[in-house]
Amino acid sequence: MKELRFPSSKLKCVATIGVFDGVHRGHIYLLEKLKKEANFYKLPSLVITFWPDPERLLKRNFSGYITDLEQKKKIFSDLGIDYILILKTNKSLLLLEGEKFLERIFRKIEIKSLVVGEDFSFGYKAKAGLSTLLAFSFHKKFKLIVVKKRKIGKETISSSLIRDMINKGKFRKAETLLGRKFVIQMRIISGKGLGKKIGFPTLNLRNEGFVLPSRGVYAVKILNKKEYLGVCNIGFKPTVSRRKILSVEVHILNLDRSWSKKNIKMIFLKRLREEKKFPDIESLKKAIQKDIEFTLTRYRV
Amino acid sequence: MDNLFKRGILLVNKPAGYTSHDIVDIVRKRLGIKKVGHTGTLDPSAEGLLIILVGSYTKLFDKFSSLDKEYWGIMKLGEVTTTGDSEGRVTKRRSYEDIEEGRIKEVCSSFQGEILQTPPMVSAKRIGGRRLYKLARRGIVVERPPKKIKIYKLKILKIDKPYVEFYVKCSKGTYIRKLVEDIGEKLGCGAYVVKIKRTAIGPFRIEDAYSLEEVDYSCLKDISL
Repeated sequence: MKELRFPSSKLKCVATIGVFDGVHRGHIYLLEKLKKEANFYKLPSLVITFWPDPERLLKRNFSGYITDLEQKKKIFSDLGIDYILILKTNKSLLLLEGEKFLERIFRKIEIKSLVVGEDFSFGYKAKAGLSTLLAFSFHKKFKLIVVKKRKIGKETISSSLIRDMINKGKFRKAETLLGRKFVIQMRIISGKGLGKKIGFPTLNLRNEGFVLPSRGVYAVKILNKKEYLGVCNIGFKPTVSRRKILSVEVHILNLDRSWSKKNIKMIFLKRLREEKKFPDIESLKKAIQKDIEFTLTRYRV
Repeated sequence: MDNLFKRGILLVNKPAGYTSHDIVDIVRKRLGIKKVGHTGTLDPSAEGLLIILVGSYTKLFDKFSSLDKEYWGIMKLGEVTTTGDSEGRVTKRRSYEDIEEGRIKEVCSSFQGEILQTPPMVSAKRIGGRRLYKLARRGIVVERPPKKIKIYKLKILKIDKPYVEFYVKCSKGTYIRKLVEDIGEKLGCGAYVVKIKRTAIGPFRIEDAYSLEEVDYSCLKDISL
């Protein structure tokens, strides 16, 4: 898969445009349609997407993304998409009215057909939608294919539903909607060494923008050359700290050497319990021990 | 089975002299499908963009009918007709020569914004279940409640008295004949529409429409799989 520079040189292709957060099963269905179109017209396929996620800039309560840009690129590439164009989400792009927005993007791209999801909206305040796109397709004489939302059972697949499931700790459900595991990647930062003092050394993590489960303790699987199990705490650490700053830390089980990488990739397995304030360190230690035992017996790697 | 695939959206440039329904009939015959509808009626004397919905797409009527409209037109000052356009009989003549260009522009721009408009008697609007134009033909005038409409833009392009060329962008349900009549009244000389062309419906533009001769199955746009 090639990454296009914008504005790029002239390209004739079939394209799709959207945020594609999570690249979930609904997105995959749409991308398969795109590939069919590409095969039919013997033209390359192009995915036009935005980064950062526009919702992150526009919505105050945006919970975070399911996939970061690298993950998305990898998935598109694995699907056999030929080109990707990443539009930088900035003020000048967000202020463009619907038609101008389309004119700007498709100035140099000649599309034979465009595949979009039924809820695709764009332009200033995302006011423009299908009717503007339809008018544009009459104008530029391309085929417009609108793909309806997909359902699993009664549930309509959407990125926001998946984010919600992750937030609520319903990982199995989120994975079903996604069609794969939710893999979070975080940076390792230095901590106060409090975990070490009480016998459970942890890696302190910084989340760069992924959606997180709500405060609590989770069983996790760490993906490295070797897989490890771990217990992850997300929250304010009320037993040892009074400050209400959200922290993420993980205690890796059976780690045979110290962690040397700057990043960590992990999968959430199960929500074990709520975060709570214990009367003393001893009871906190007991609770952690219980979390570890449960994780080890339930999820042997 | 065949008709299942005959669905979609069609942009047609309606010539003057046809009713909007005439166009629907022509499309029906050309495509061989009964279920055809149009959104936003154009007067017979008007030309311009008409959105035609075919097959299951007729269900989308509401989505298209609520869009804003744009028109280009010419009004004639100093005369009032029974219909508000050149189809009708001239009922009043007044002098317009002394009205300054600045005044015309000023009055026109005063119509911009949200305004109340009384639907004209000669219109397809129904009151008490009866079409107004049918009543008007029998010489009956009924009370019509005024409706809130919005004139986004009213621009004078050229003044060559008594003719005034204009462009207007307005909300759905706006009658241009009535708008011109009201402008004439405010100017004190009266006015009616000589020529009117719809250039856009929402984002859809007249340049992308097919002429009546061109219309056939291949012009249909189907967007859904």
